Amino acid sequence: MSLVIFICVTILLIMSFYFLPKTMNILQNTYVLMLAIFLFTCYCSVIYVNLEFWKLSNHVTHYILFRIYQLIVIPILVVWYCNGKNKKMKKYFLIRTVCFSLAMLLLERLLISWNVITYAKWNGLISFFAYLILLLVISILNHWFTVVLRKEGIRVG
Amino acid sequence: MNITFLHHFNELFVVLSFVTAMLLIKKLPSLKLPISLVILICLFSANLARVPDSMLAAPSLDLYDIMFSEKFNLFDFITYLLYCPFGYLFVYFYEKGNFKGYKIILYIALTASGGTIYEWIAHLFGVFEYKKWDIRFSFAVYLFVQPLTLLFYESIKNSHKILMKN
Repeated sequence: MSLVIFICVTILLIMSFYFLPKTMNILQNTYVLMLAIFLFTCYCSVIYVNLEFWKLSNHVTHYILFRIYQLIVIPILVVWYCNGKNKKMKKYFLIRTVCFSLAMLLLERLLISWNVITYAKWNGLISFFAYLILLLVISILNHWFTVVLRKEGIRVG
Repeated sequence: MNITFLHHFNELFVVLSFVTAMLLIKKLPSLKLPISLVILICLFSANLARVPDSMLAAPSLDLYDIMFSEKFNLFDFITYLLYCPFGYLFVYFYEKGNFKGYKIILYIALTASGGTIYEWIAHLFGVFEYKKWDIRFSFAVYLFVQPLTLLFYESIKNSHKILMKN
């Protein structure tokens, strides 16, 4: 059942993302998506393989759930976060960053409640700060990519 | 012939491969690609390696190891960086060759074979240690990811053109 629920949530997330107005162009969206996938998979590997702060369930359903979370849900949330950045929303930057970090943390808690992830020497607060840092790092790298696009003569929102 | 002594040079092999690929890119006449497209090709190539590795080499499946360890270390990261110049070179020769029709298929088959041979050499040097994996699977993977790279390249090139016009 958990897999069905999570797949439904993922499909809804993808559809919402597709239909919502975007401030970034397709090149920026692609860049942020790939960056998020790369950085988040590296982060997860360090946390659960190297440091063993998380334990992942060996159940097949849980394995699929975790991969959907790692490769689709979190990267799409990151792209969504980056698309919300415009001049009007500039003053809410910190609030938005905190809200998206909390949303990611909530999803992580969902995986914990389904026993997909088990914490060992880890807690939610560290995860929250990790998501915060992930969003900030991607924001900075996205800003740099935006500068590159502007130099090439592409109008960026 | 015992060639396990080569395993001590896995890190050197990765560094040398990276430097050689970068030197080759520097020596080749420029493709005049916008920097943004080069960045996207590099990221896409690195992700094409990173995503399957995060699933297949992880402890749950553990089909193979990179650098003799299932752990993610600095040289794993450098190995992913190695895919950036390779991805660029793949697109470079595709553009320079101006392949059309069946020549594209031939190009993909040729580069997939080249990729598989390179991976086998990397395996001899201990960059990849196969457990439940077989080099023949890699050939199939290359046959799948290389057209994907070309599709990705064509789509971002078109998007770039459209954005430049607006």
